[in-house]
Amino acid sequence: MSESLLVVLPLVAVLTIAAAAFDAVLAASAAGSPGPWRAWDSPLREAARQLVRQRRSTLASDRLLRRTGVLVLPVAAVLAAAVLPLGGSRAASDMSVGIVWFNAMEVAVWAGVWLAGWGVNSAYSLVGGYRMIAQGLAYELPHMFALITVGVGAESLRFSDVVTAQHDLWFAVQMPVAFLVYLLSALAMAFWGPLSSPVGADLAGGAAAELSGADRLVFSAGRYAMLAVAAAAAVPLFLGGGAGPLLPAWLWALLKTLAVLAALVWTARRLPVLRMDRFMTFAWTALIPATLLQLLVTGLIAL
Amino acid sequence: MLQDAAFWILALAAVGTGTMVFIVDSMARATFALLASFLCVGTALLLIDLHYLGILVVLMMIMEMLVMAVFMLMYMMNPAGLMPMTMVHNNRAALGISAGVFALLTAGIFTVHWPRREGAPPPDPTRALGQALMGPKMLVMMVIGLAILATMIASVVLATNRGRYDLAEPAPTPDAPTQPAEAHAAHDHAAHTHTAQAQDVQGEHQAHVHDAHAHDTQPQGTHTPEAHDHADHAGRGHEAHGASGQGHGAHDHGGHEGHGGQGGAG
Repeated sequence: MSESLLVVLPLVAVLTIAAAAFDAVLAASAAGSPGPWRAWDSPLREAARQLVRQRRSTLASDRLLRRTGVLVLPVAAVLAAAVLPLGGSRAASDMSVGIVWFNAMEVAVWAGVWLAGWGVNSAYSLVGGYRMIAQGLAYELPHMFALITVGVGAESLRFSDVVTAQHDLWFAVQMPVAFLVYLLSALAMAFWGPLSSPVGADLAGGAAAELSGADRLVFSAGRYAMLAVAAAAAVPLFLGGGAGPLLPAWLWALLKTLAVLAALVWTARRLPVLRMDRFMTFAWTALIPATLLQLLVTGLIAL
Repeated sequence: MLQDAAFWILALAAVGTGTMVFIVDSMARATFALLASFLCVGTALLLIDLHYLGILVVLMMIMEMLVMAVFMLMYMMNPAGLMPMTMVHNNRAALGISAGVFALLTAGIFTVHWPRREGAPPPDPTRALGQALMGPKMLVMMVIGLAILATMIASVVLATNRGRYDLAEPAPTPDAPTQPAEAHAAHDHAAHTHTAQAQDVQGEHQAHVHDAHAHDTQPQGTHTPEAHDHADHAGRGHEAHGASGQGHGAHDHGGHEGHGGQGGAG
């Protein structure tokens, strides 16, 4: 526990809004509207609109499970952020197995999406929820190997030790395959961009199809928050944390986080949505061997 | 003091949510009640500083319960667990067994000689756990673990067929023996009442024969009545003329008249 505990929540909120705002600007730019930067506040307007809107209800929906699923997303994002070191200062909880904790919280998102999709008792939402589990089973093994590679490289599962271990060489350089796999998993854990088929347009919104009002607001905010936290975790894991010349550590960490976040948000406008069975084949036949080889190389270096 | 309170709250919550598994009327609620119970157990492990084990329980249980959700879709008589259903079966015997197991475990708790604590907890329980589990066999364990993982992945990859839109080659034709050309030539095509071209008729006829072969091998499938008639007809033909596939020309093809339109679909 440290003073970071107070900072985590507002920080995640700011990054979430930043991600949503950047996405809105990109959307306005793609639509060709003049002055796309003026669209930055449209997520906030949308949030206000959803807040005052009455919920649409479906027949025989499981309200408890639906609300639990929707709430899991932002809660998991904030809890995952609690173990991330914020530049120079300590994490809110710098626990000895922070990487495992981060992994557990990110897996909770699968449960959230499935519950939200199942709970509303609607076919499209149900399919969307199951797509999230299929996606999870596809990306999780390569993702875990990427995280284990980091743990082996740092010889610790503590985030602050990971940052210290990158004093000489960033892990993004030392283990590039793990870094790329992590970026792909970051998209998958926020079901964003090429991996957004759980809420895909081909399912009329998938798991989020029937969510409205405050439910939809919390669900989308949780999704952006997860994307932001995944980007923020890439900094201590692979990009040397707050290391950098001239500027203070916290500013470097923030700049790196925003850069990764912008790249992740941008992919949604540039890459097609992957079909889940194809991604599964790719993940299991290409990514798992690649990450295992990366683990082997890193293990040999660590020895 | 605070730890004791936390332990008792977690213990009661674990038992309570565990009981809920059998009370709720939906597979999804039962699954997540069980998950809540496991999460309480995982958190209780954190109280005794077994951080790695506790968080691993949380991580693995979330994943396991979600895999259970997949199985719910695949194997339940209740599609996707969407319908209400009872979570208990065979109540009387189950009650007896569970009472017996409870009595046995309780007796064990009260009769066993619990050891006193010796020494202090290690500074890094995760490392101590790894040493206790694997010790000097670390390398062997890691290699075996990797081999098991590779086997699992390979078997899953080999066992998975692609979706129906993903076939690399066009749809496979049934591997029934193709008819010799002269047998076709001997057909009494006049018996067919099609106005289609001769080639089309031949193609359709071939489809019929393939179809009949398929039906021959699985006589009790769930076919439509027409399909059964067709299979019977083909079966009689084979009995009369042997399995060589020759001599089909002698068939009375009058029976095909009604099938003309369905031949392609066979």
